[in-house]
Amino acid sequence: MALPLLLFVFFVWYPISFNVVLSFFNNEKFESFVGFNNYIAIFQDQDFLDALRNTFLYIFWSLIIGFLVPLILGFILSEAFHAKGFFRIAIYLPCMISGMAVVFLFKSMFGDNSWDVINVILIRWFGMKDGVEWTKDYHILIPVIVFAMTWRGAGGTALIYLSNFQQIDDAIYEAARIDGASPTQRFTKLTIPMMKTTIFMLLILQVIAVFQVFYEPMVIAGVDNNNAISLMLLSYSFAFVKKDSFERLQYSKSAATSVVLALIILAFTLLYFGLTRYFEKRAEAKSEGKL
Amino acid sequence: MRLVRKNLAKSTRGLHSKQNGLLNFSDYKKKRNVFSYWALIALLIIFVLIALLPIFWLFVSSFKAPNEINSVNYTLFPKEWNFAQFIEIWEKCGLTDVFLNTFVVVIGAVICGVVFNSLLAYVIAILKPYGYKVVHTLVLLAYMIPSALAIYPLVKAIDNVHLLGTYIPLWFVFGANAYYYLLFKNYFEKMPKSLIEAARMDGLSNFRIFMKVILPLARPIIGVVAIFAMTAAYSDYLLPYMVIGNLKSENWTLMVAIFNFSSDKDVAPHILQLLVLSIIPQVIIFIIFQKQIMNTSVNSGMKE
Amino acid sequence: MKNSRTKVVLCLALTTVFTLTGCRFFGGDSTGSSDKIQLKIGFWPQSSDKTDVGMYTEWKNKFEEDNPQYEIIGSPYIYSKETIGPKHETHTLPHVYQTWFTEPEGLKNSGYIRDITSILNEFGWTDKIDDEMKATLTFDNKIYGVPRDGYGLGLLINTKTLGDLGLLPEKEGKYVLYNDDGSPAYPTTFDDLLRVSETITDETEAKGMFICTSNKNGGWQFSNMAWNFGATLEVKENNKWKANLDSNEAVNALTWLKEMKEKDLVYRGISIAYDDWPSAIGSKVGMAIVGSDILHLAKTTGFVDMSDLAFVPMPTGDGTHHYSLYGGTPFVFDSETSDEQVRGILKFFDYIGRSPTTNKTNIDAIRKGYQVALNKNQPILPKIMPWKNADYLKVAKELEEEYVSVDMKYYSPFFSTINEYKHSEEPIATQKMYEILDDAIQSLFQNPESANPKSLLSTANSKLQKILDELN
Repeated sequence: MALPLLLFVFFVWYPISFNVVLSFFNNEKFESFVGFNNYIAIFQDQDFLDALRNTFLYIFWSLIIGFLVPLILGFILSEAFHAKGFFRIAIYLPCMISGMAVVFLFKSMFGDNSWDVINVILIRWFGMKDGVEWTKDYHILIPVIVFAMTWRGAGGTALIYLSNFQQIDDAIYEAARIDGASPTQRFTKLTIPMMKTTIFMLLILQVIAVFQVFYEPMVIAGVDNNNAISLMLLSYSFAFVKKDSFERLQYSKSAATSVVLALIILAFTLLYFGLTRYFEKRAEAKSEGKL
Repeated sequence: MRLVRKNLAKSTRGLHSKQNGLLNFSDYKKKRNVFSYWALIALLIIFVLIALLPIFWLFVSSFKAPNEINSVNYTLFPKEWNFAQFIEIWEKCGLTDVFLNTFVVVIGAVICGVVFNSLLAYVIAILKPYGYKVVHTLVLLAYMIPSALAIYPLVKAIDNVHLLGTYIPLWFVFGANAYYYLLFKNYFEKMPKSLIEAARMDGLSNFRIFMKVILPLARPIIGVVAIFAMTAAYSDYLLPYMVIGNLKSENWTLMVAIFNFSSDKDVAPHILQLLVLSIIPQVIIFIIFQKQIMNTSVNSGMKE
Repeated sequence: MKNSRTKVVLCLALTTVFTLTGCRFFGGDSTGSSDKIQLKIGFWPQSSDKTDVGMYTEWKNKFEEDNPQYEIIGSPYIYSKETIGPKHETHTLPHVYQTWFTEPEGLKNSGYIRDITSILNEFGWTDKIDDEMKATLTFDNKIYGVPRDGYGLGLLINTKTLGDLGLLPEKEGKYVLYNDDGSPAYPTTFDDLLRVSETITDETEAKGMFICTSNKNGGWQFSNMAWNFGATLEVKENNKWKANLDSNEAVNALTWLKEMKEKDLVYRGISIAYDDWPSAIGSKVGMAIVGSDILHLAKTTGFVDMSDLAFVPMPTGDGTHHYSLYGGTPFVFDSETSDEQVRGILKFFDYIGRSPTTNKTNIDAIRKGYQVALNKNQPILPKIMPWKNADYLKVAKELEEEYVSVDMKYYSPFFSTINEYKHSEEPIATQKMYEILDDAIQSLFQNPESANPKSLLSTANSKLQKILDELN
């Protein structure tokens, strides 16, 4: 029984505690305690500020693209009557491809040059002159990366929505129909409120997942491109790539970056658990009230 | 009754027989609703195209020779369908070894993911020893904080126990997965308590109860975790890269191979072929286990 | 019934896993129980490269036969900024590996590599190393590596692209580099580069030039451009180093780059890797700044015929300077390598044709290297020799002439002038300087219209000055 716990200690708790402690020391040999200096240092570091900005941009775009697409898909799938099986499999297929392969695939398609396929399409069909230089601007690059992530993830999430849409009792719709509610009214007054819990849960889970975006920008944009760097990637980069002016790797800064990101994720997760409990309680109260 | 309805739906095959959902046959008596239905289907087809076209593009382009991929005169279809280069790249990257390694890592990860997490979940959910709540909270904490955040200390720790360059950490890391643990725990908690009581009355030890009573009943959730662990281990990149990335290429797993070869001068021009070859096993697995995999995705349903 | 079947399957799976991995770990990388001194060779070819592995195995066997106290272990490692840190952390670096010219200073400061001066002295090789290359490997009077070969930066031209546009004269069905009056027809100034790039970009799908911006390579190439506009990037005043990145000459160089990007004449992207030039030089760009040591990649990874290319000296910006940044690709030794191991590896250099001696073993190995390359259909170009002792040079040059497989008409403009034009890298905090310049170039590429070269370089200058102050 102790073995699984030992695994958690070794793979999770020890590394995290190590990083928390390290973030208050000057280097990985723990030579001197520096208080919050590492935190002050990263907040003065342009790379960190860029990564922080990007991380929230990732969240923003994933709310627009990554959140809505699977929801809409799930709804249409639940209403679709023709070729159901085909649609489901087709939508789910990208989920089967490993994330690494997906990023390389998108890197190949969204190249900067006029001969890369997406630019070829833009030039030949949409009359653009030279195509888009994707990596040049984070307002373009980050949506592309989010698109790649959504492309891979949407099918799985859509299936979860689908099963939840299908769980809605047809009798409720029938009752509304008899009351003369139009389809639009039914959708806004019945479907959406009943899906609220699911939507909210998946939303938060998605936000937490997006905070962890890491190898997507690493592969698509490169480690040193600040237009896409995320906090997670920056933390990795401090520990393994970026050196200070004495050519030393910056483990302490990496640890501090990790801790900041962990705190942000923690806040969102606590929000998630808190609200789950709230929804459960309310549901209970409702069912009890009915009884 | 249900069967009749099903058959009816099958035989008529039209919107006017649609029984369930937001819109059903009675709504489709109105033209306007039929129109919006087809609008939705059109939207769905667009989504399907977006989902499938990149895969299609990848497969078609992968038949191009490298100098054609490097060409500025873009054509969708290759001028010459070059099959031989797949064999060439297979040999160059030693993919037989790589796939074998990946298989070994995945199997180990699935076993560890199922065994250790279910064991812990059993202890916490059913035996409830002293201090189980603390452990549970700590595990939850692990659920929130991605392990990749602390990759440097983890690699150091693995080095300290001399397991770098072996597959052992890649298996055991799946034994400490908070998500799988939660899935098991929720499932175990819903099991009828009377069963366990009965087994205890029969004088079975805790471990035997786990083996004889709990596990056989937990088969569905074991399947779910196994499928999750399989996909995750197949796609896992960061830890394998850190742990075995510096071994010789014949010891790499597929993801490490893709990443490392992408910057190898000889292989980089063939990256599309490598991607296609990496996708094929996944497609085969999907075809075989399509039902189970898609159900898993639904059933896991993030229900806490 | 079902339960037991599951168990059997599980057991089978487990056994398979453990036997398979058992074989892999305890057989594959295991190092045996012999008490021989192990030499892990990082420049060992990848196992996929069967011919090269064959050649190295032959060399290994011969070496081990002659020196039974050693055991050569091939452990191929391709140096990269991303992997060096983790590999050092995990003690999995080979004892000797190849790195880029730009790296030794950083590697030394990080404590990743060791000083081998005393052993080089023992072998009598110290004075045989090419002076410029030695300088780039020497810090605090200690030598941290052995050069593999030298390189100089030059301008690689796709003669087919330029010729088809009428930018090169044609003679007897072939494009040539010189006009009838003997003057060069290839671009010799940065203004020429701009004009030629404009024509290429306007008339074809391709862009004019490939200019890299990332991984310190942007700064590396930019420093060469700046010199040719007349700049000096670091100066010594009162025994203290001063950054001089924002001189008018350097600003002129960056302004030229601004114009190139503004007119969209360069290969696109923000983070452009040097590694991409071979795939670009075919039909994506007309010209690229490239080191002379890896020109063959145009053929082997870019699939461009060497006869469609030409290699000429770096153009000038101010009309007088034609400097070519000159350095070497070094072999460096991991900091955990013992003296005895370094000795063994240097002895092994004889067997692979990398030592300055003229004994038969070394010469045979050089010859073998050429032959294997020929058999693989690799183009063979002249080399900038890493050793300067006359006896070695004589033999090596003879061998080279015998094996060179490209039409020297198109490559001699560079190789016949490199000794005159060569210019070592800036002396101090060079890698940091390149990194800072990378940043400046990347921000310029981000907003070419609004970028101000002067202020970008001023910022870069103060960043570099801060580092120099720490070092002064």
